[in-house]
Amino acid sequence: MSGELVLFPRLAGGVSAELARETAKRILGLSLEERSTLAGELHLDEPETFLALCQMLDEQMDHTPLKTRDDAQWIYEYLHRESPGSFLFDEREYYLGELALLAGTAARILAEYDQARTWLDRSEAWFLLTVNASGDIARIALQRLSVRVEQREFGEVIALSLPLREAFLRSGSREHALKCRYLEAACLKETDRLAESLERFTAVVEEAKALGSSKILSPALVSVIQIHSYLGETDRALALAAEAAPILRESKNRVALAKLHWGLAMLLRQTSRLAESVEAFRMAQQEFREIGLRADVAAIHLIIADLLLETGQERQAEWEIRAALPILAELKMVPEGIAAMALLRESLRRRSIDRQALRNLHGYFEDLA
Amino acid sequence: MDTARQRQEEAYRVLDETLPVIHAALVGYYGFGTPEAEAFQDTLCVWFHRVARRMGAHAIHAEELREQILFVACKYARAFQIAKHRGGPVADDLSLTLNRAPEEVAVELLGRVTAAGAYL
Repeated sequence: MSGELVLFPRLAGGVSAELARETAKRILGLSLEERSTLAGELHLDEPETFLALCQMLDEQMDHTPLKTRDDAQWIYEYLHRESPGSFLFDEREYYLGELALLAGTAARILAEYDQARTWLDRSEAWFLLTVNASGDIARIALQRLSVRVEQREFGEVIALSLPLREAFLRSGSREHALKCRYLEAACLKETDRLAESLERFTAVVEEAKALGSSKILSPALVSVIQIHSYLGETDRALALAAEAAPILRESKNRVALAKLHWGLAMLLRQTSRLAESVEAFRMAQQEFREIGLRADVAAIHLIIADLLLETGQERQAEWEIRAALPILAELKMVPEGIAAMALLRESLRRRSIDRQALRNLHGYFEDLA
Repeated sequence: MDTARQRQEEAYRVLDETLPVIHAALVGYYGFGTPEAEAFQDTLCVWFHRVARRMGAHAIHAEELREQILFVACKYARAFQIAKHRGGPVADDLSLTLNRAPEEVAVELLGRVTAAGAYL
């Protein structure tokens, strides 16, 4: 006998699922500094607490993506640094993978695509060390596909969504399979295949209702309303928006709710109610600001600028554009966005706003909405 | 019963069916004493109850769960005995088992569970 330490997983006293959930709630309610001070009292060495934390972060994702990203990052770094001894078998690797996936998902929603990719890579590296790697890696693939939608790689997304959907269906994960259909419908919308897209989104809405998935139902409803709006079917869009609003409020999906308000502002604009439209855009913008979606805040600055130009308010329009440019400069845009921004900067320098460049730039962001 | 609950029930049924085979393997293949095997199984049960509630776990079929628990049991039982006997004498039978990949032993055990009539 060598007398070396034998790594037999030990059974600690543990905490109940109920206590873990209460603790997770308390942790998420504390500031980052408070958490660091109180870590010893917060059962942050218990896997059950991490299970509850991951579930709660997932639940708050569409309500507060900025906070979710910060929370997931803090907990990931804590677990990475501390390596608590009470974790059994693959649990530490699993929670590191899950927290990285949550941080990556939140970063994607916040339009921080480089960060999102980094987190998704980390997630994959950890999940590969766990026992059910294939199912979890399929979830990472879905997030990577969502990033590619934002990067406008629509053909590739449509091609890849089919096998990924099949993989989810084979493993019985209907909600994830439905997310693949959602992405496919979103790509059809972005490529102006509106009738096909509407058909797919309508089917997604029906299936999301059947599954009881508010996570998919809310953005799918917003997309259906947007398409009716694009098709000039204003009455239908308004009627659907009235139906969707309470559903979105109930689901606490602030991202989808803000996008719905954006859609309503667009409808007001289409019906030439410009002053009301500007007010509605500003309300939607405030909502995006509160949840940390800076790309959308910038896009609405540009749309308002366009509306102000339409009503002859050049100087105010210039201020709106100047407010958007620093945010846009921090975002990683595809070449068409960068080109439009360069034109707009140049026109601002000449004190004569290039409306086409402005429209190209906000059109680029609207497509992403 | 909701779907999540059904899946958890299924996971626990898998655990009940598989534990006797794991116990036999720990004692017969990996040379555990009975108290050691029982402590190992307790740990495995705690881990498995949390695995069944993981975020992606709803997508796991019963047969996959069974493969996972058998693989984890063999992997960690082997690692435990290797660490315990490092530098010391090892009985021939145990040495043979420790030289086999845990995946291989797990597949053999899976065959036994199936033969015993477990639902797959």
